[in-house]
Amino acid sequence: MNPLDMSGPQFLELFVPLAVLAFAVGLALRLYLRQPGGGPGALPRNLDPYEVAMLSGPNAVVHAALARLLHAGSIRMNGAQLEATGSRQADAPFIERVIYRAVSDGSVTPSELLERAEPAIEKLKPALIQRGWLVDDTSATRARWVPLLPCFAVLLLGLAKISVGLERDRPVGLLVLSCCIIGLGTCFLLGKRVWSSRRGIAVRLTLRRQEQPLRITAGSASSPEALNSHDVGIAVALFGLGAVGLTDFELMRRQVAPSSSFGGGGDSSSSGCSGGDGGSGCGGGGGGCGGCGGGGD
Amino acid sequence: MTGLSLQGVGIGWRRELALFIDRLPSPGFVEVLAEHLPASGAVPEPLLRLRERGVPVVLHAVSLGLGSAEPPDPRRLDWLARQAERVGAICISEHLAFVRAGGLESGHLLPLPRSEDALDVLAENVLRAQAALPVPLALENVASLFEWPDAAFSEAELLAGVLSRTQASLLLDVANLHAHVLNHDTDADAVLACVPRERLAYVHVAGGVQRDGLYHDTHAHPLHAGPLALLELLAERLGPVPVMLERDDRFPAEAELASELSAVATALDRGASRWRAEARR
Amino acid sequence: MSARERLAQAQAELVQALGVGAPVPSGFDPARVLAAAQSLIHKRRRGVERAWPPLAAALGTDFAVRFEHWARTHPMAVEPDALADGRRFAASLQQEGRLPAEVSGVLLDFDARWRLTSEGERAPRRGVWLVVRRDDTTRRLQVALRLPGGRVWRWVPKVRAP
Repeated sequence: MNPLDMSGPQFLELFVPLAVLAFAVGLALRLYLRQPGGGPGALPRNLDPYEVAMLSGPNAVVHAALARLLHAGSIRMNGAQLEATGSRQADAPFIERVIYRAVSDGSVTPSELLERAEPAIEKLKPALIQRGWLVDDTSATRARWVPLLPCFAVLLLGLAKISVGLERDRPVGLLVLSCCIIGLGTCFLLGKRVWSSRRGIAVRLTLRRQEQPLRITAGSASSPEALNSHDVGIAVALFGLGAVGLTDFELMRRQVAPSSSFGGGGDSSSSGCSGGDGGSGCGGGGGGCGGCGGGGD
Repeated sequence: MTGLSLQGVGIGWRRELALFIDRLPSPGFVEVLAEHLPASGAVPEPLLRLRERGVPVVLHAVSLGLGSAEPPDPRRLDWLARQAERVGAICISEHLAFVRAGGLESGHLLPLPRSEDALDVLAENVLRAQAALPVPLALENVASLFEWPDAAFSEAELLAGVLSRTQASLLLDVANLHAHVLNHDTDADAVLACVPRERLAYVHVAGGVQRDGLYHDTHAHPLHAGPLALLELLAERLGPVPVMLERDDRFPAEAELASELSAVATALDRGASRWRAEARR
Repeated sequence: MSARERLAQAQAELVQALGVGAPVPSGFDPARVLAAAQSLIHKRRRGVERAWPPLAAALGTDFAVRFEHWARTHPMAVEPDALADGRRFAASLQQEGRLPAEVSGVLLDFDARWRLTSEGERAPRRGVWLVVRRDDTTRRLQVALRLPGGRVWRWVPKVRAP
């Protein structure tokens, strides 16, 4: 029986499962096409913060650069405003130089920073594509669009049925609604740019597990000296700007990543220890041994 | 108590030091503060990893108040026992101090009067705690800025007294001993002499600061030569003893902390090599 | 009186002297006990400073003076907990109308995660918890929502620089 000749309810009974299937196939295809896959493979002995940040995406690269510049004292928070201090390191990586210039020009909105960082990010890409952490441009385009085909096919079927229904003067409200949902879902779920490969995802997960000590230390840091610049870069690359528990980093996060209004805690605070505000909560708890006390323990 | 398998140079595990400790090639042991462990949920991942590496874990508590007039709260003991099991601690340490009285928390470890009354109460409290805890208990001497009037005996006699009345071992804090020497003219040699090796669980060293003629045991300042010299004397007497560095605040850069650890190791080695030379004679 | 009773009385007198400035019990060196009281309050302040960096930063040099003044009249009756201590201190600032506006966000965050029991202990909230309040200085509405699992979403309108 031609589905276009089915009754409304009959058609929906076929259409809805078909749409769900198309989505499932689309997502699976998208994941599959993020080549290469497989395990994380051998990790480099010395991690480069920017290569690691690339795994999390362009924003993480910008944030890692900001974090290292802030830690090095090349930029600072003046109240709630980010500014350049004038002390810049001559041999800083390209990404830090462009971000430093952006800050000294006052271009500190997320989109401005990302735009300024674009050339540096492009320079970082080829090596990582070579290593199989990122998807190359051709595969990225394929992985982005091919999975959409089943969804489009279902959408087309829906649209055809709508026009048939309109011609025959039948109610099409539900079908229009379903098509809208499919259309929006397709855009949201599958329309995003493909960035890291499945191997890249595996590397990132492995590193996030491996760097738990760093995460805990960075989250509870009470002075910048307690962390070195490399560790600051890795912490932000893997766990975001909120990972460094220093007040200036929190202030900077509010300026350059205001959209992430989730309190620090989140996934780190599944333990009873608040984790809020970058984990500073934990240090305060307990009776405290020593401290500035006169007695001792 | 004998046979605690602690050895080498350890360090107090703090969240701020998780990364530093994770990178140490072979920490002798780590000490975890019971009050800083999350009340529920998972034990912090870096601690689990240390255990997998075979690094022994000691649980350190500050809130039991073994020197209090009241017996230790069974709920606190129960909580401490659970914390010890969670981290797989081979020993629990607490202080020869009281922390609360008359419904107020002092927020610190306060010294005990050196009287028969206090020693009786303390010994009884320690026995109750030992009965409730799953692993051996070690008791730590504390530092203070003031002393109780009319002491009936010396610091060394207090330590010897509690060791003789209980089966507990001693966690000797040489920084606290150093504070005692500077603040109250305590006889350090007598204290060092009162500890038999088989009753010594381990040793604490920590930084402090001298202000207005008083030594403050802050755990937030660089190590002084005084505590290291006491460590050396102790090692000369008892041989290589397990020792660990405590740092609780104003955490320095990695290099500074590493050099403090190696200063501790050097003091220990110097003392222990004299002990070996003595033993050969 | 038993040994425990005699000890209890002597210890209580000493803790009162250290915590709330009661007279130093006889026989003690008053200067030393005062030095110890001072260092205890320093330690307590330092704990709050570390647990609440935004509060310490917002009050700047005032923080030490205000906190120590408050702490002397508010001794700790439950297990020392710098997070709870700081929250109570912030509440007293709020009552006096001296709470810096920058801190309201972190307070909101705290209140979505924790509650203070009637004894003053800090207990975690569970499940979904919504905090809505109007800021004293900015008069803007602030919202924090604790989601199951512990994530807190908060919406605090930015404080405009004067």
